Amino acid sequence: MILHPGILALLSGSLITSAVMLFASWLGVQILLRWDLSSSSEEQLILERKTWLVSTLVNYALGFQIFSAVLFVFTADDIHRLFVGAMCATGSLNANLVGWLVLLVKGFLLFAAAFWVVLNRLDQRTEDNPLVRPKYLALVLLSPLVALDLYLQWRYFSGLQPEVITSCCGSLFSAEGESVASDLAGMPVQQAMLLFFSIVGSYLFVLLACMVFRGSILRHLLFITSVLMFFVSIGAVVSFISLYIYQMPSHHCPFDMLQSNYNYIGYPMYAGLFIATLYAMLPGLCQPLRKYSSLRQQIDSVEKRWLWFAMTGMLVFLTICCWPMLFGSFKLLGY
Amino acid sequence: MSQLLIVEQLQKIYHRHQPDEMLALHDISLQLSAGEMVALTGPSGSGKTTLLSLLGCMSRPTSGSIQLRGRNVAKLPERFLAQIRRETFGFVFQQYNLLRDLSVLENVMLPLYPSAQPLGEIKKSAIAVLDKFELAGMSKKKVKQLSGGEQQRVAIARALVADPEIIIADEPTAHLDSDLSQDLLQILADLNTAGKTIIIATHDSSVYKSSLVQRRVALRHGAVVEVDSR
Repeated sequence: MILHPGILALLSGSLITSAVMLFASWLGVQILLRWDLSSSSEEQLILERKTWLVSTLVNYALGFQIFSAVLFVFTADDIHRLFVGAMCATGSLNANLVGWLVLLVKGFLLFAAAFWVVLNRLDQRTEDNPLVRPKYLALVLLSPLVALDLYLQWRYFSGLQPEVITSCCGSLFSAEGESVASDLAGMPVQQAMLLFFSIVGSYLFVLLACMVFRGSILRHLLFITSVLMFFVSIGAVVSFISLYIYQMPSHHCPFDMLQSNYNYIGYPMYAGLFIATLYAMLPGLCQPLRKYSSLRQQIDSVEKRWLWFAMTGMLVFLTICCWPMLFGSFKLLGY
Repeated sequence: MSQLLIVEQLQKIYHRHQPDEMLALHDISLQLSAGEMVALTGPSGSGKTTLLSLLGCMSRPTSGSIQLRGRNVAKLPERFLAQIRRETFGFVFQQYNLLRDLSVLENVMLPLYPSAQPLGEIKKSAIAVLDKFELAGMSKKKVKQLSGGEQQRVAIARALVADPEIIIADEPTAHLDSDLSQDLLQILADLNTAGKTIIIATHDSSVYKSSLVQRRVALRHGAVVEVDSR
C-alpha cells in the first residue's frame, strides 16, 4: 500500500515540509526575540539574509501543502480499487478511522498555507517588512499542524487494510442515514437551491461592490459571505449539484465527479470554489494590515487582481455547477 | 556632473551596546558625482573599508543617510541592498575573492546568474568582458592556476560583467608589484573615462597621488580629515 506513487509523494513531501517548517520555526523564534530592522548590526543583516532564504523555502513547502490537498484526494480516489466495497475516495477515506481527519486537516492547511504565501508575498515587496514577526509567529503555530498532517497521513496510509470491507458513498451520502453527510443529502432540493443561489448571489453582489467601492465594511462583508458561500457550496454539491452531474436522483457523492467517468470535472469545480473563496477572503483578512503604509500600497496594487481572481473562480464554479442544470436532459421534478 | 551619492552624518558603530563596542566612522558627509574617480586614503584602521562597505550597500550605518541617486539606502532591508549591489555596483577586493576551483569564465559569469538571463547570454557577456581584458585565452583555466595580476584582472572583469554604474575597489593594488599596480590603475582610469564612477580605498601613495585620481578623501580615526580635489 505504502508503495503507491501518490502515497510516497505525499509522505515524502510532508516529511520535507515538516523539516522545513521545523527549521523555519527555529528561525521564527530568533526573529521574534531579536528582529530589529533599525539595527545596523551584522547579526541583524545575517538574520535578514536567513529570513529571505527561509521564507522562500517555506513558500515552496507551503505551496506543496496546497498541492498535497489535491494529491491526497486524487490518491484516495485512486486506491479505492484496493478495498472491497469502495467505489471512490469516500470508500478509501472510510477504510480507517483517520481518513476524514486527514482531509479536514488538509482542508484547513490548504487555506492557511495559501494565506501565508500571500502574506509573505506582500511582506517581501515592502521595504520595512512589517509582517516579519506575525509571519513567523504564524509559522511557529502552523508547524505543529503540518507535523500533525504528516503523522495523520502516516497513520492513515500505514493503517489501510485491503481485506477490511469499507462502506462507500452510496451509504455515507444516503438521505436515509444519520450523519451530517446524510442530512445534506436529505435536504429538500428546492430549499437547498434557494439557499445556494441566494448566498452565491450575495457573494457576487458584494464582490462587484468591492470592485467599484473602497471601504473596509464591504471587504469584511465579502470575507463573511465567502466563508458562508464555501460551506453552503459544499453542502449544495452534496445536496443537488451532484445529482445533476451524475444525472441520478439519489447519488450525492462529492468525490465520484473526480473520476474519469465524469471527465474529472470535480477538479476544476473545486479549484474554482477554492479560488473564489480564498481570493474573496483576502481583502477582508488584509484590512488590519492597512495600518502599515507600505502594506497599504501593496494591498491597493493587488486587491483588484484578487477580486478578479475570485470572480473568475466563481464563474468557473458556477458554470460547471449550472451547466448540467440548464443544458442537461436530467430534470429534478418533484424533489 | 550629477550627484550620484550623497552621504550625510554617517556613523558606524560595531558591536553596539557590547563591551567591545567600537566607533568605526563618525560625522562622515560626502558628495560623489557620477563619473568621478575618488580615492579614500588613510592608515589601517582609519575606516576606509567600513566606509566602502557602507557606500557599496554591503552593510548598514548606525545612523546618517546615504542617498544613492536620491534614494536613501541607509535603512533598506538586506534583500533590497542585495538588489542594489547587484545592479549598481561592481566590487574589486584586495584578496580578489574569486572562487579558486571554478574557471575564469565561470567566475566572471557568476554575478549574472541572479539576473534570470538565459545562460547563453550570460556566457556571451562574460566572454565579451574577458576579451576586453585579454583574458579570453585563459577562460577555461582554473583561477588557482593564475598569477596575482591575472587574478586581479579576472576580478575586475567579474566586477564589470553586469555593467555597473559604480566600481568599488578595496586596496586593489595591495598584492601587486608597482608595474602591475600602474596597469591596474590605468584600467580603472580607462573605465572612468568610459563613464564609470570609481571609488578606491587605498594606502598606496602611487595610486592616490596619481593624476588619474580626481579627488582624494583622507580618513583618520573614522572621520574625514582632508578632501583634496584636483
